[in-house]
Amino acid sequence: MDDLIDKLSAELKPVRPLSAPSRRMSVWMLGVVIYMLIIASVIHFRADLFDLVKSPVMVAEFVLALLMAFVSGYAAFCLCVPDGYGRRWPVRGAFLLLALLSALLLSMFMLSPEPITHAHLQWHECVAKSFAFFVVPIGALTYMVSKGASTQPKLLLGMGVLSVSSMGYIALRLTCPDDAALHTVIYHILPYIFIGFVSGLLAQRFLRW
Amino acid sequence: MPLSETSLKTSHDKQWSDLAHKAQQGDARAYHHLLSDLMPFVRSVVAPALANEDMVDELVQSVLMSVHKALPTYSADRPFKPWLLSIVKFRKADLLRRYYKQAQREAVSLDALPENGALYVTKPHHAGEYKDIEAALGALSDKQRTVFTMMRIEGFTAKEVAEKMDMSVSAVKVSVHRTLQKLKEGGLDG
Repeated sequence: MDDLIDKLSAELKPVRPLSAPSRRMSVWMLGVVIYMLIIASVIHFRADLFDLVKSPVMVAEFVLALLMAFVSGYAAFCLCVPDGYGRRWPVRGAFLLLALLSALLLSMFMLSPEPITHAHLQWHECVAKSFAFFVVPIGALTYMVSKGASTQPKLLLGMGVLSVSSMGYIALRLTCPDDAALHTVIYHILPYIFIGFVSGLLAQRFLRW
Repeated sequence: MPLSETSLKTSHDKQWSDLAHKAQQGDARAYHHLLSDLMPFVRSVVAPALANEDMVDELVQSVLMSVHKALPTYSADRPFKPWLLSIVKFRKADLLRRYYKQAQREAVSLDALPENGALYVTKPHHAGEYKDIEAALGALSDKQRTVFTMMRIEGFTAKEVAEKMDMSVSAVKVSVHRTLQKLKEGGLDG
């Protein structure tokens, strides 16, 4: 054991402590917003974009999704150090916001039920858009958090996936003109659950230390 | 007046925090001091939960290496102990996961025993006796036999055996490991 301590001490080099999670999250979030704006403008924003703010339900949906993106992103950056900076509220907050957003979407779905038709179960361009909005931001987040040493890698990735999915969800709502609740669930949410699960499994490899 | 337990704990934490901060700046002496201080503390935290001394050693070693890797994630404005204990908990879970996985792999179903019993238990005509174990031990060199008997039968720790036999701790462990291998090869499981 003494040999190990001697060896580790001899190997020591000056290291720069990781900067605050809020700072790292702001850098990442800024990059994600710019990236999503570029992709959304390439895809084209929906024509009735400015009418959206007239709907209180839509505004509530956007505010909740945006809050969830920030809080879960912050949680992910906190969790990349061993003790998570001793903060538990970001994870709890993210789960609370997720519950609220799910309740809102569920109530929208209950209030405007539509039969599931063949058209609803086809490949849709929104699925491709989901991938476009997801892959680069989650890759960037994985790279940034891999600089840390997480003792809760699964929770960290869950928070990261939640944050990227929320941002992607907003981006999809701003580009897709279909507001039907069923369409939203099948093409705007399910793809994120699927790719979130798969990328979570893949990204875990990068968080081993 | 003696210091209260809380103030002792706080001063410990403050001291480790300062040493870690200096280590981040490349101060090897402070780092050596920190790791040397952490070793007995980590040992005292993990020892009650582990089955044997070897596992404790392995875990302490793994924690020290993890502290080395995770050094940039420590921020001097935060207490040191919660940071350290999170690493200890993480590495302990890792070690136990590996241990139970291996134990599961090596487990022999009781259903398999009746027809293949002879492979797993001592020879039936020696049942209740230790002749085959004694014979196997008798085939070892004096030094190997003494080290093995002290550590595996009489219950001395590797450190105690090393002191008594004037050997290094790692040499004692290697000797016991090799003896076990020999016994296994001879059809006996230590």
